[in-house]
Amino acid sequence: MWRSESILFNRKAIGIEFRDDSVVAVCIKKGVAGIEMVSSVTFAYTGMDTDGEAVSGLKRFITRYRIDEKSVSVSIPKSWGLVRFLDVPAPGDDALERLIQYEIGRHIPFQIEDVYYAFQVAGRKGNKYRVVLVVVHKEKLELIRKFLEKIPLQPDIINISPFCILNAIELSGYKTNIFTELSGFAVRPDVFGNKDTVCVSLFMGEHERELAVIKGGSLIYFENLVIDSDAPAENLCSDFFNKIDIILSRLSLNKADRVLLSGHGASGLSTYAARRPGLEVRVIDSLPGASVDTGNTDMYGLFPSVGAALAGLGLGSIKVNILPDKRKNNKKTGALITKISLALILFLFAGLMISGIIREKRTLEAIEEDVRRNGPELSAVEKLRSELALMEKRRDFLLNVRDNNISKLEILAELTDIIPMDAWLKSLVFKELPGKDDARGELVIAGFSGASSRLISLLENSDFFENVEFVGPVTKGTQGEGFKIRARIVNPDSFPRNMEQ
Amino acid sequence: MKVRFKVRLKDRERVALLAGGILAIAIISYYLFLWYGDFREYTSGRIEAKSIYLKKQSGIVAEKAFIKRRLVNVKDDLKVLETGLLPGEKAPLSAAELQRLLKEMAESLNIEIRSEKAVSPVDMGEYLGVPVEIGFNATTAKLKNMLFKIQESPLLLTVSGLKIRVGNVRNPGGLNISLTVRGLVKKEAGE
Repeated sequence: MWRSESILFNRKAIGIEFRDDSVVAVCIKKGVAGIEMVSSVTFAYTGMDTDGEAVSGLKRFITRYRIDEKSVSVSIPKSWGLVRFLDVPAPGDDALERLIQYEIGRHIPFQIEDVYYAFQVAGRKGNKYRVVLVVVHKEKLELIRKFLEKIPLQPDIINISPFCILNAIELSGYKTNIFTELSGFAVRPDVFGNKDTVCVSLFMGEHERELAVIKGGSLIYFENLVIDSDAPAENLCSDFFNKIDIILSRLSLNKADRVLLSGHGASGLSTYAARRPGLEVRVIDSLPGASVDTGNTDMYGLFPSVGAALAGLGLGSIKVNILPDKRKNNKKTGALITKISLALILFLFAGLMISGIIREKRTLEAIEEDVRRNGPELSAVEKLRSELALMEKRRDFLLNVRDNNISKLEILAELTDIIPMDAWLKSLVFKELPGKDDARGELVIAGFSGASSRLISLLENSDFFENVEFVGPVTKGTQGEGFKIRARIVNPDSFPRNMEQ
Repeated sequence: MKVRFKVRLKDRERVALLAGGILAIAIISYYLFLWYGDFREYTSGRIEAKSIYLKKQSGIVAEKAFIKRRLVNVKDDLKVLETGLLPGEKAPLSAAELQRLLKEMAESLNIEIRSEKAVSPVDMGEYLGVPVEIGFNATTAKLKNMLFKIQESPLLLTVSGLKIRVGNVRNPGGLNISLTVRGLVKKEAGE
């Protein structure tokens, strides 16, 4: 798992610092957890063909740490080139490079064909660009190329050591996480402050004191200070701030908001610097990816090579590359393409989900609109239906009264038919049964008969009568058996009839 | 000369961090898909229910012309049938009209009505039943004719009660008859 994670997210970069008498190589690794220093080596170097030991040493270094990278970032001493800060009036970015070429001719003592140059825009006021320009003689860089070819390595970025140091200082506060790594949208460290912060950096190396003024994350001034390093820290601090005041007034800046102190003696100097009111003092005493190692006195000597390696990973605000064919950084384009692709994938994915939701919502809205539109029509139909139901109820009732009413004449005729000749009636009572169907009723007959019990079966056999029974005792008399019989009347033709029938 | 640096995060910590990140993404994705699935299911359910309702609604609306035609027919039928209702604005008036009608029928058959009484109206749903009770003496033939006249009346008249007693068993032709006849009147008119 670790291996696959390494392949997916880890990137290694080599930074090589060329000094006048030595070469320092550093390998750093950037992963989801941040920057990690892998290792570093130092070899003697004179720039001659006899530097076989440095070449073989670097080869071993690369083999031991399984570094697959074939391109490296290089830091060269400031003394190998010239640094100028120029205010160039230019109508736009396109014309800027042509105007800078013209300025190079004015400011350097070489032919432009004999040098490599690089510049970075530090700020812009209207049509006036503040530009930091670095010029290096071609001869020096060809030496580096030849040296690296023996390993074999290709220089990808070449920058001067003070700028590499600034990158290393800036990235001492570098933090990352899996999400920023996956998305590619890394947050710039806050070491140089925000766009309004005036930040002064003083790096105290073994031999040099390098002062830089950074405003809004852009380098606007740089100088190699000559300070007596043997002087007490209090005097050193006083000289340093006097110098800063002069520089700031030259740059038309009121005051410094933040001072970054790094290198040898930074801690001692910070004690006095912190006494100045309204000034934030920070001591940079660690390299990106390395914890503080107080036993290692050469740690500050690694700042240029680390800064170069970080530039190789696309990190750092001071993006100066003296190599002419690499000036347009393809890595930046690649990263941009990756970011755009990632954003596109996320956008498509979200779009797919959202479009589904929107489609269904629209369908639902359309149906609801149809339902709403049908509403008045539906209530009209419902009204018609209820009216129809009422009318049908009335009609059916009247039809029932008209057609299902048992004719009393038919009942009397039926009685005349079925009652035998030896029987006669003395009373007949017909009444409707309350709560029952209108066509049903009850009949009570009383009279005399030769055999009254026979009447029950005769009546029961009729289609008009049911539940026939005696409702009183049968009495014997001179006229025959006296009886009283009750029967329920049913409609022999009780199926419903409609108007047509 | 070589300088060794301490590793900021150990491999184990990196793996834990990565695994945690992947797990978090997986959990978020799972809940996102769950929510999305639920939402789609809910919406699909609503669409289905609304579609069924719309179909039913459209079916009902489409029946409008048929219902209208049917209503016209039923109203026509009802108009014809309601010609059989008793005239009169109120139930007592209708009862009086029915009494008059029965009297006319009886007179036409030379039957003398001994008694007549309007009984309380009966609630029959949409209509009121207005019963009238008459008493008379008649022969069987006259009773038959009276019942026939009532049955053949253009009005919707119902014989709701009939009592026949033979007055003299030696002369069974003479009958004491009590007849209750009920006509119908519209409820709103009768009330």
